[in-house]
Amino acid sequence: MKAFSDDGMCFVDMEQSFTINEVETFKKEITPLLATDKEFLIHCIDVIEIDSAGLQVLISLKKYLQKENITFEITAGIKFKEFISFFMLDKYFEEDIV
Amino acid sequence: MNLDFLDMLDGYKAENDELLQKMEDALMEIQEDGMDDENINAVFRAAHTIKGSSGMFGIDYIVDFTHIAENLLDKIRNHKIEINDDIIQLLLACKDQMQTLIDFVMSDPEGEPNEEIQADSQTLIYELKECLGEKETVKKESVQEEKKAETSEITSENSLDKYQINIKFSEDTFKHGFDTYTFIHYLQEIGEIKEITTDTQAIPLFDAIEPLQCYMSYQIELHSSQTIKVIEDAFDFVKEKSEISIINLSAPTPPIVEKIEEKKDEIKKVKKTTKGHTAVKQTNFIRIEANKIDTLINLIGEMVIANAAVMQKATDSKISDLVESVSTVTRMLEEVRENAMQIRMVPIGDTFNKFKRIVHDTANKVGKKVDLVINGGDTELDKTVIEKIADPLVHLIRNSVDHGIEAPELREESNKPQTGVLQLNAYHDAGAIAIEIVDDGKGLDANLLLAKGIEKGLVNEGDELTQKEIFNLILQPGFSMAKEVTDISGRGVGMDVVQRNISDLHGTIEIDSQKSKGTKITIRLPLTLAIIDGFLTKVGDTNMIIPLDMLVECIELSKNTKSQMKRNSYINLRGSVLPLLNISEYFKIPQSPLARSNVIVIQYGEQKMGIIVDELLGELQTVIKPMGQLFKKLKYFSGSTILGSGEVALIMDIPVMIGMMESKQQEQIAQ
Repeated sequence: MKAFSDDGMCFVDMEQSFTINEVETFKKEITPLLATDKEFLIHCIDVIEIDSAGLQVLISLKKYLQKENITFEITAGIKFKEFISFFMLDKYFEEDIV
Repeated sequence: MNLDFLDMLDGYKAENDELLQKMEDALMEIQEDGMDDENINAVFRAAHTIKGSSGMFGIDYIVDFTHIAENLLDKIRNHKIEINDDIIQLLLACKDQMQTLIDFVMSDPEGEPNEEIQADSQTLIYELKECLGEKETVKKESVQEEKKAETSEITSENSLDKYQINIKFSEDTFKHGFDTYTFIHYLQEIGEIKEITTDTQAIPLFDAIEPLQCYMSYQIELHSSQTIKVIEDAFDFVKEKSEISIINLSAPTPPIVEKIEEKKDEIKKVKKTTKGHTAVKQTNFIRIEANKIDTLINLIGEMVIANAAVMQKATDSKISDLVESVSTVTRMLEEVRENAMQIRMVPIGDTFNKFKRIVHDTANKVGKKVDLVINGGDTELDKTVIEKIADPLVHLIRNSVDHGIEAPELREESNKPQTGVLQLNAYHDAGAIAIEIVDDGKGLDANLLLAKGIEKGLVNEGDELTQKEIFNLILQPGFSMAKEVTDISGRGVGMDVVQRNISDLHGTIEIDSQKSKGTKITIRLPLTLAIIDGFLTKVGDTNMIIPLDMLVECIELSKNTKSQMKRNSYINLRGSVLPLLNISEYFKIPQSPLARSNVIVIQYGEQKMGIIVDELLGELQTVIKPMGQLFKKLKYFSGSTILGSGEVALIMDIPVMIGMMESKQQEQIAQ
């Protein structure tokens, strides 16, 4: 994964994987930006491997940003969409997927 | 596929190999003794666990295949389908296919099986469906589509039960390498998921979350024809610490609620009342890598050598306290050595049981009926020896079934029962283990063998061979009596390889046969290949060790006895003739002028002989060291060892010595 921050906007490219192997780095990279950035875009369009640890941390981030009134957006690829559909979370992420 | 699975591959394979072996054993028992609830349940449980563990790791092609086999097994165990020989054959083939698929996982954990493997799976699935009475469905649909069709068929036949599953996964689910997705996804195998509600409230905010900790909870609505127990089993791997409740909403009020937590309490109570019997059983075994034990035994071997040097120095120093202390260490070391060697010992019965299938398959292939009888399966043998003897045994067993035991009609003509008997016997015999392969077949025809031997140029015309020597011709390379070469035997390359493998293990092979009555092949093997108890002797300046298990007694060769012997190479030992071999003469070792000759009586199998040596130095633990390439052809010694003084001692190969003595005597008789 790669995380960039520019002018209050945070862009996180998950590349091909959003699993238990990425979640710690995900938290570590994003946490310092929570205080500064006002917009978060999680780029999951190329994700081909995702698990429930990835999903869990994403839900956690969404909840936090919603509470703080910070914009949260996701770009979703086929695999990502399939995964959230399996858990019937399409509606939950409906407004976030761009 | 779960990435952590790659680290768990060895465990996955070992566990499933064991289950497949249990499956085969139980099927073979059913084949022999008829349908038995316990055995069919064992087969079902094995298939179910293989499906479960494969499902956990997302190996769908094993899940798909095992699922269908499991359906058939379920109907058999519920007495809805009657088991017969054809179904047993099919289930054995399915077991083999599962093994192929598991082996494929090992070779390419993240790949998909090639077309050939997939085609084999499909053929078996087709046959399984045929047994289940679902042939038409298979023709029309692919496997995935079948599952849906199957589900809808069931729906129309019996209404599905509606279950509500509430699950809160334990905090360490992710740390243990599990993904909650796999468990829920697996539910699709046993029913239809109608609704999943993910409890997002249970997940902490981003600033408070521990990313590796699992907070996931779900409420799932599942429509299924399966029981609560089957659904519960889907969570087998995590149910210990997770909170799971399954409610059958279709059941008459009050709904059946089964809380696994409550069940756990019940189990605990039962365990208490049975004095923890189950718990004891669970902790009785641990799985250890074989090379760790090898390393331990090698180290103990080195300690034995080092200890011998210490003992030598202590004895030379003549300090009695020091000698006493070193003696104590030696005794303890001996116990450590014995216990460590015991770890390597495994019962040969497990290997014998695998032969049931080979006998069954070979007999079916050649149209014969054979019963396999196993005796002495609990006889223990070094693991390495067992591994190396398995292939030669397979060859001998196949030969017995293919060439030894006659076809049913021929047996009837010879007033024998249609079904032949093949016995596998194992027992301890004079420091060795003897394995017998005995059949009640047509036996070996000595005249025919001799004629074939002459034809092949292995024997000269006019040579007078004993019956044993004639039988031993079948151990010669290129010797085959089979008229046709089949895929089972008849190429004449097997028996000499069998003999070579047995010789490599310092073992011997003996053939005994009676025409029309049957053949007995006896293999004698040393109990271990690493450390033995030896008896140290000296001939001139050369140290020689005799394995203690093969030593019967030591007697002094007095002048009186010597004079009675005259020029003969035997003595009268309490009324029996004992042939003698003078080591110093035979190996041309200069004898010390002060030497007092002693006879060591040795025994191997039923044969006894005496060895004349100069000095008897007593017992010692002997670490067997190989002789090395340069001395490979030195056939009378099986290895060497290093003594405390740093000198080398040669370990006598008693079976070879006795064999040599036997042929020497025959030569003398012939002259």
